[in-house]
Amino acid sequence: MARVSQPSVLETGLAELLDAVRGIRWPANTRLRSGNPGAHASHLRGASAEFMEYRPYRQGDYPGRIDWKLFARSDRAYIRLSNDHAILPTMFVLDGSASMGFPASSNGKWAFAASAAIGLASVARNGGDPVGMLLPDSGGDVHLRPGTRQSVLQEMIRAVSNRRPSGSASLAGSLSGIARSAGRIVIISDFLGDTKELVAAAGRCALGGSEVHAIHVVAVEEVRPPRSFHLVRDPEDDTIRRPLTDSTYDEYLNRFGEWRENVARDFAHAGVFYTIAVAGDEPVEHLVRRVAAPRTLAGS
Amino acid sequence: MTFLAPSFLWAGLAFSLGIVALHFIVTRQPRSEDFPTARFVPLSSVEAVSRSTRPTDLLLLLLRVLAVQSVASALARPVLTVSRDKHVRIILADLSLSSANTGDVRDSVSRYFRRNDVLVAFDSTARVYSTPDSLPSLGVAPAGNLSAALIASLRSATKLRDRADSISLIIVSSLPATSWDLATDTIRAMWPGAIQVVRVQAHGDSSGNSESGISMELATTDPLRFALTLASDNPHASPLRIVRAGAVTSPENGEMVLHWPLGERPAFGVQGSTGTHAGLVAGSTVIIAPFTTRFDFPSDSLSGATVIARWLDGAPAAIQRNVVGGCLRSVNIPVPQKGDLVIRSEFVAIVSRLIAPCALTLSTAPLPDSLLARLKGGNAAAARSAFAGDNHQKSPFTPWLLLASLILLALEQFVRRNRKQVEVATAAPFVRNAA
Repeated sequence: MARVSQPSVLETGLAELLDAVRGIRWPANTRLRSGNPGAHASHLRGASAEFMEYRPYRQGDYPGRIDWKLFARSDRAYIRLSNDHAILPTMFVLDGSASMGFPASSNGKWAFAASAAIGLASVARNGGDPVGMLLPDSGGDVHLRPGTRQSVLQEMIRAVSNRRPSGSASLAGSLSGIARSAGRIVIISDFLGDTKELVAAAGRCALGGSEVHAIHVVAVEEVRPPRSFHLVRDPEDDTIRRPLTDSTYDEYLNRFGEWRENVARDFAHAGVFYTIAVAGDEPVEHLVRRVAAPRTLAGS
Repeated sequence: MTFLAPSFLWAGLAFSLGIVALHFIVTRQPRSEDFPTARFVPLSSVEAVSRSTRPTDLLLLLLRVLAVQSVASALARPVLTVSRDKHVRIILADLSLSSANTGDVRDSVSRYFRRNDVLVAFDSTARVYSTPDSLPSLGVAPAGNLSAALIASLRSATKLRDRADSISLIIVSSLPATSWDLATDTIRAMWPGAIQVVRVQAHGDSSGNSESGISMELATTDPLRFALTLASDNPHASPLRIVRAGAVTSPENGEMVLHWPLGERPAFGVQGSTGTHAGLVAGSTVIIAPFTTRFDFPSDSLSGATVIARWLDGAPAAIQRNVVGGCLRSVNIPVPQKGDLVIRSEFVAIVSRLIAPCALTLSTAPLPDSLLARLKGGNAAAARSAFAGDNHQKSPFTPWLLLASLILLALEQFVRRNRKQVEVATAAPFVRNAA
């Protein structure tokens, strides 16, 4: 008798999300260099049926691409150009550090970030793009290579379901390893770890031609902390203990808001598409639509 | 060991309990909650007062309690309890001239004196002596002062109350009537027990005493002999020794010494310019005659002295000083070898005044029986509880306990400072993160 594994709470909530994002398309924000055929417009001019323009023949062009009918009418050699389309391998880097497990009672940030990753992966996968996932962990990263196989989403769902936020693994170090294999990198994190190094690494990936998205997940309790907090502790650094009282409340809000603005500006300057999401304030579906919508760089 | 002021011990105990209670009240950081963006909260110290189930800082608590207990013990004045005798005596020895001689008094005192007893000698004042052998000779007071002696015995009894269960009082004296004054009755009532009286021979009791009479060391050609013969018709009540030549010795046993040198410096006198006086006055007797003298009595020699005779110009011619054992008269009156001055009635009267007994009038009348009965009182010795404790008694442990408390407080400061440094070192990462 075969055993049937029970779906986790995360998996149960993801079913509705996958249904909701089924019709969403996630085009590349720039033309791709890749030559593999796919759904995204490429810099390259191919020989597809989608005509774009004629170009005079130049020495070195393949003679077979000359439009002989036009040559016969005009006695001039032209080459017929058409749009080429390519696939966009998409890699999700999901932060699973201890700070993502907040609030402790619901793990709201982690559930939101994991759902957003699965939702976006589903959108990319539905567009024919290979999708993969990287879960940095100090005990060993979980690396799902980009692929278009049917089971890739299930593998990703299983990976995030088995993961409990802990530790403080570096995202920047993991990012450089996946830049070659992914045309699109989606970093989903609260950016409370190695932010400067991560911005620099993401900037290098963007310069290398990858489309880099940074999705900044914050909890609504971090944006508007309840007044019941007294002494708060950084889950990733036990030496940081501060009193969050009426006298420090406003200063905290100012500092946190200023820091978020700095992070957004740094990512934009690095050529990264930055999106902030407040877990608990908006549904994951909305975030998926915002990220997938065509847009230009805020800093450009 | 016992404590002279045990109330300080209770106060110290209460203070220590307060310290222990305070060590159950601690200031500590409240429980913290995970908050990923805690780094954006401004740094400030936060502590909350709470009760602990176990006392904190046991070493500090121990040092503080010990310091308080040391101070309390020092203020409570601990003293070692000495082994207590069942019975001790206070012996009052009368060394006034009313007693016949010192030997009788010493013998009587030795008969009653035991180890740990207190010996008080008195005449006009009272002093404590350790043993009968250390008693001095008879003093110059004509009679002992019972009031002073009884007050001295009360003071001694206050000191003896921790050393004996009962205290008896013995008076060794001839007890003349003059030893009892107006205050004696009241002071006697303050002694809570009976008084044993041991009477010794009084001064005038021995008619055959060889010390009585006049002892003269005069040459047969000394003209003063005639004047003395004329002047000493009446029998002399007290012994008189007349020194005309040689060194003068101190009087003994109420003796009167008359130093009337032939041509040498009289006692207490100094060499002065030779001068002639026109006459001599002694009491109401005046004799007009030339007297050439080479000596004077300086002003410092008159301190505490009585002038018996003066020259007509007022300068002293004969003085008297009361000394231990009697009195000493020094006469600076030259006696002419020729002429009838020595047999003139005025000169004889003056000589009679010079050999008259000292002002120490010894009354040999004994104390009346009624007063003696009141002095003796009942038959029981005084119990120690009848005497108040000595509130001024010093504890030998007090300075050491205070020193110990100072050391403990210094240690407490040292431990507390080290503890603060550890706290600062522990809090350093928080400060660093804040920076």
